[in-house]
Amino acid sequence: MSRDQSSERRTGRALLAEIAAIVGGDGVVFRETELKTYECDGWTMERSTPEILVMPRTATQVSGVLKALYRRGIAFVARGAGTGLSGGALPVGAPVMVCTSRMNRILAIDPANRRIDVQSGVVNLHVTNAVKSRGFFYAPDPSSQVACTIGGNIAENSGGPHTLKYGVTTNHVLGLELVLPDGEIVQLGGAAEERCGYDLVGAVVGAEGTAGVVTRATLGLLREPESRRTILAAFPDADSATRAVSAIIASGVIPGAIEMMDRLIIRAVEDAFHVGLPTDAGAVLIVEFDGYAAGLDERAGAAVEIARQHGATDSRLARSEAERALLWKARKRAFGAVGRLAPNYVTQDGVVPRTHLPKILREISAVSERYGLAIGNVFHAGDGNIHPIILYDERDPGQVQRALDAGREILRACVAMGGSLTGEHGIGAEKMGEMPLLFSPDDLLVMAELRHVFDPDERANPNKVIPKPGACVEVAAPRRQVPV
Amino acid sequence: MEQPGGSPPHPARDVADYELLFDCVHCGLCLEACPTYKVTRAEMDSPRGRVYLMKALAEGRAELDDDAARHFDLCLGCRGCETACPSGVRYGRLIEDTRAFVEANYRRSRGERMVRRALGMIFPYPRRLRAMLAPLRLAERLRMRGLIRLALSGRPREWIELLPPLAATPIARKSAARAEALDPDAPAVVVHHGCVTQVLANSENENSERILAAAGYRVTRLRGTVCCGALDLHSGNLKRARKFARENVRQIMQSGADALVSAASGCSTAIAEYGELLKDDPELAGPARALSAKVRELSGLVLERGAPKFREMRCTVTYHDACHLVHGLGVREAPRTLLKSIPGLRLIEMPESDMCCGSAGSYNLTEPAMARQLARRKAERILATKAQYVVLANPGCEFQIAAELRRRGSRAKVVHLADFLAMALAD
Amino acid sequence: MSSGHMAGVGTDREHLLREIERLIGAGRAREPMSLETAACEIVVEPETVEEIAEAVRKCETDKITLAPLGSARTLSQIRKTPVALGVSLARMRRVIAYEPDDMTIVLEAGSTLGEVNRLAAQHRQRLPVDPREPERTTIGAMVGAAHAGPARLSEGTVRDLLIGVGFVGHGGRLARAGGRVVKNVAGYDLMKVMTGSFGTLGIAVEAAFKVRPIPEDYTLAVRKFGRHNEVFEAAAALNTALSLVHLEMLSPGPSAALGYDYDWVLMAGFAGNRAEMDYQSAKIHEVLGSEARLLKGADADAAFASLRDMEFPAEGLVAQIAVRPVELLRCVRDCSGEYRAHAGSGVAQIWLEEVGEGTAQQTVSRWRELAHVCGGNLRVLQAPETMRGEIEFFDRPSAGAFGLMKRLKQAFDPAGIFNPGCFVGGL
Repeated sequence: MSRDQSSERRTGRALLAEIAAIVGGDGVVFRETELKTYECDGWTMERSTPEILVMPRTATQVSGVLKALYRRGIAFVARGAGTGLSGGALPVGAPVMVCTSRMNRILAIDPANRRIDVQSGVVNLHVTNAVKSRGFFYAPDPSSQVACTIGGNIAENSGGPHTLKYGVTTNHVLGLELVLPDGEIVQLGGAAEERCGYDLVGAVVGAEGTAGVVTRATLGLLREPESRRTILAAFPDADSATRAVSAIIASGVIPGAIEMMDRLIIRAVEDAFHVGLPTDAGAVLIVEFDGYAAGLDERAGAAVEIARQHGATDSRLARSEAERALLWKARKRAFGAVGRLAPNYVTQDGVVPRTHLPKILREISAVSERYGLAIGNVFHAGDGNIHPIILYDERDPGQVQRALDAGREILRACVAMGGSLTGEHGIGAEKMGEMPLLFSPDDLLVMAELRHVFDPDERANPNKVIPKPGACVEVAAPRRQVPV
Repeated sequence: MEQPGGSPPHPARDVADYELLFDCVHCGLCLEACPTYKVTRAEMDSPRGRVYLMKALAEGRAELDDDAARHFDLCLGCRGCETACPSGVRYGRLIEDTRAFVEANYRRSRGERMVRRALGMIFPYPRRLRAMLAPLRLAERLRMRGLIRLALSGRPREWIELLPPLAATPIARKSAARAEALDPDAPAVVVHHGCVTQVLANSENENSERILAAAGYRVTRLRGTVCCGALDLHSGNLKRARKFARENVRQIMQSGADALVSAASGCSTAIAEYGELLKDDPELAGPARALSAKVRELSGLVLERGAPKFREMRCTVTYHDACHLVHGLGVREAPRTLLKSIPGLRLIEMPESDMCCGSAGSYNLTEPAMARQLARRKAERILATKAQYVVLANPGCEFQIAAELRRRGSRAKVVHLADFLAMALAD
Repeated sequence: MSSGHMAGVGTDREHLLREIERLIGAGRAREPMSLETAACEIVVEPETVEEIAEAVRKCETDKITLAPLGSARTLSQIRKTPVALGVSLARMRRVIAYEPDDMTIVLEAGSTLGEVNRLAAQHRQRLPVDPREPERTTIGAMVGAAHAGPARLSEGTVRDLLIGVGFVGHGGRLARAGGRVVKNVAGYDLMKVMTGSFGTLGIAVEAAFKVRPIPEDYTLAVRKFGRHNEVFEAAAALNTALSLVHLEMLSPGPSAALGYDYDWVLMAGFAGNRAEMDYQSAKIHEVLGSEARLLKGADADAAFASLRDMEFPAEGLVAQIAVRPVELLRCVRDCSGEYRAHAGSGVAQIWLEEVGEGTAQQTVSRWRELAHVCGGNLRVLQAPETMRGEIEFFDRPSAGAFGLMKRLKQAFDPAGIFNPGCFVGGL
């Protein structure tokens, strides 16, 4: 088995002592066995062990640590809860990992202004939990929301089912505290809706940790909708379901969410959670409307009718909040439920224009056949954001290779249909090689210029997002040459 | 940097069932459900990190060094992660196997070895435990328990602090009159008295029987109780766990009971897993499976026959979910429903009610520092509710939480569900 | 990045005009007209991206300043001295792609918002940004100046709707980011960086947006109040009770100008299907009382248009404040000018009809301080020509943020030619 290929350590005792003096002895991890658990995040196709893990509690500590690294020219990678699906927290030529999991304090709740101030290690769901009793919620709700951190959400500009109506992370972040790679702490944006000068908050959200380490965020809160209607509609096949999606949205109102699960996923989810999904259906849609109680029955009724016209064999409304919660729990844990079907899976995150959903799903099933791998689909249909889940067994090298190739082929198809490589998981280490499919060399150069504004020496999460011209990536091969 | 396409992973050591390790997809949804992760916020103290280490150990990519052993030891075995896990990882099973692997292959310090051996030699045997506690009981009669506590230091002192009063008769700890069920066709239930429970909290056994009888069950008793083996299961001594299991299977199946309950949820869960534990036993695999299927829980059984008549109790109660009850047996609503059926009672939910209090079998004896942190966290949540009673259904949690509340000078009473219900029974 | 040494006056102009015509074709350059005269000395009207690239390269070589002209009004109001070259995109107003079923639209930056929305309306859709005078607002200007209007409350602003952007930057390089799909995190978010950058980083040439459905029905509720705090209290109550399309408040001056009485006026718009309209109408009357007048259909549209297009006094000092929403009341009151406020968003335009000679900067400073105290910032939108020299139009960000902005400007515009000297901190 190969070990970390950075054969010579760039970190030494002096650095360790300096970091320990900043964050305390219990905030540094440097022994091999413990570090091993940090060698991958939710993207498990690649592994790389950091040399030092730091767990700071404050921005000042982060700043101190980054200064120590900066003086030595050592790169770092930030990590929240390690739930990312594109290897964003994978150390690639970054000997030091800065984990924000202990920066998990909610600093201030301001319901009157619908704002909340949190440290970046706060768990996504804990934000909503903190304001729920006052009738508010934090909109971005990635499936990993029970564990993922706000800092990780900011890095990846995370979405979730309800972003169809309410937008993704970047639409809800007003202000940030960012520690630049040289250790300077900067305040970007603030509590007001308009900003002074360039929208640097917008540049940092979605920068995948390459701008520095975000330590604090001011987030916008939304009022809980007065009521909801959640419909579960069963279709004979994915094609009819996805056509219904476009028709529902085209009917003139944006639902809170429209999610789709195909046959394979329905069965996995049903086996795991017994929520009463129709296991004989080819696909189901979860369609949710929210807003005033007054108009919802009409909206839900119209959607049910559209579903029927598009071939739905059965549509039913969640009868209680408990039933709705169960449906969403099943949907949000669908990825994990797939873990019951095969030893490993890898999920893609491509996007197509919504009307191309039937086409991309046909393409995915063709890919599945060509590569001899089962692929399930559970995704944000309203956004055209697909999540094909490719099943494989890591003990069979041939399957690993095929899983990677199949994923890439699906992404190429997305781009060819006018879509994108990723809707919410980020490019990370995973999809860097595909960036040239989407962007011209000039596009990438300008993006690199933007990154260098924050991180001129590429110390923050190096070797991510933008491929180095010529240097690093061979699109078709699984063994990527990554400079370390 | 390790890349896909290298040599495929394969098992080099038998740490735990290798196939089961593949159930974990490394999604991380378990992190916040893990009490130790909540405290240290470090991956190696999370279920995902531990499973990852198990796999790395199994594949020979990591060694069983002090760190590995330490992080496995630190696991409470509460199985909160199983409730959170979407992939159905059988964590309880994995950690039990891994503990056996650790016990067989890792050499602890002498002190640790002694502590563990002592626990294993005393706890499962009520007579030994009673004998050991005799001096303390005497001291308590002489009102000198405080002196003993002061005379001790370190771990022994912490242990003494955890013990409930031994001599006093607390709430409803009066001997239960055994009402005979009126209906001869009513199902027969047996209460497994448990080794530690019968010494330290026997009223909970008796009151369980009393409630069941009041609900109309035929209550039968075993002739002497054998330890369920949970302690061994959780400390890697699978051999003796199987021995205890076999004895229990024989004895309980003979009793002809239709259902079995225990005042200690750890015991219930252990018995519920006999089927798995003895699956390779040529003689008892079948009966073990049958017995496991009979394991029930007090409030669920009671509700099935309709709650008995309770008198009015004007009080506020918060309910703590014992780990093995909620995560092991999946019992969450029934105790609450039953409590809420008591007239005048107001149930106030605490946040993280289903998070381990740190008791976890003998965990608070072997890992006092982490146990104490969790006890503090639990006490804070409880005190925030301002409830007069903390009701729970496991004696271990009761001692742990009561000790912490005592330290804080709180007047909230920690009462086992069976004791509480007995107190509320009309008549 | 001072523009002092750069070309821009006198005989150079004739020369430049000929040069540009030679470079990108006859008839592409012209003299500025009306408002444009305050913005630039020569207007160039390219037809293609390549022509813009040529112009940019020329300007970089010869150190000639240029700026996208967009709606010349914005530029004319914030520039103290004109740039040499104003790039008008009047000949680049194609709809590159409109996919009603995908609800996305890709536009050349010279299209006006008005024409875009006339097209979208055929499919009952709209690009829901509502700055003043949509027929005169180009997409480029809307993005560059981050124009917004009342609907920001419900639909967000440009930054929430812009899903792709293409611009010509230094070296005449065309760079694109984002794409044509509604959800996309591939690559850096240059859309955010370009939004509100006032042409200081390059010339935006195309933009892709999400479009939204036009609601089934729209009603505008109008209610006047005799006092300043009453209108704010009512607005706060409404904002809690309902999810409105917009929630506007006018001080007496603009109310009277719009044909309402000389009073404080609240204008709340709401939309939805019939049941929702009934519910909201009832709620509006409940909160605002029977005095609230509900305008429907064409009346509502007309009233909204006049609210949206409201003119600021031509010779006045106008600023936009953005603060924590609940502090808007205090902020606009203490600024003591006329105002139009977007309640709920914490944004308001405030103005003085006239300012005494030499007092403009003093007034701006005072307002700015109030905005800072209320957690926000202030940007001057318009000032009498004679006083522009003394005024800092943009608020200063924090020192750290400003350091980054300087680096951003330097990286994207190393020659310092893109609309230099009038943006935040003199960038």
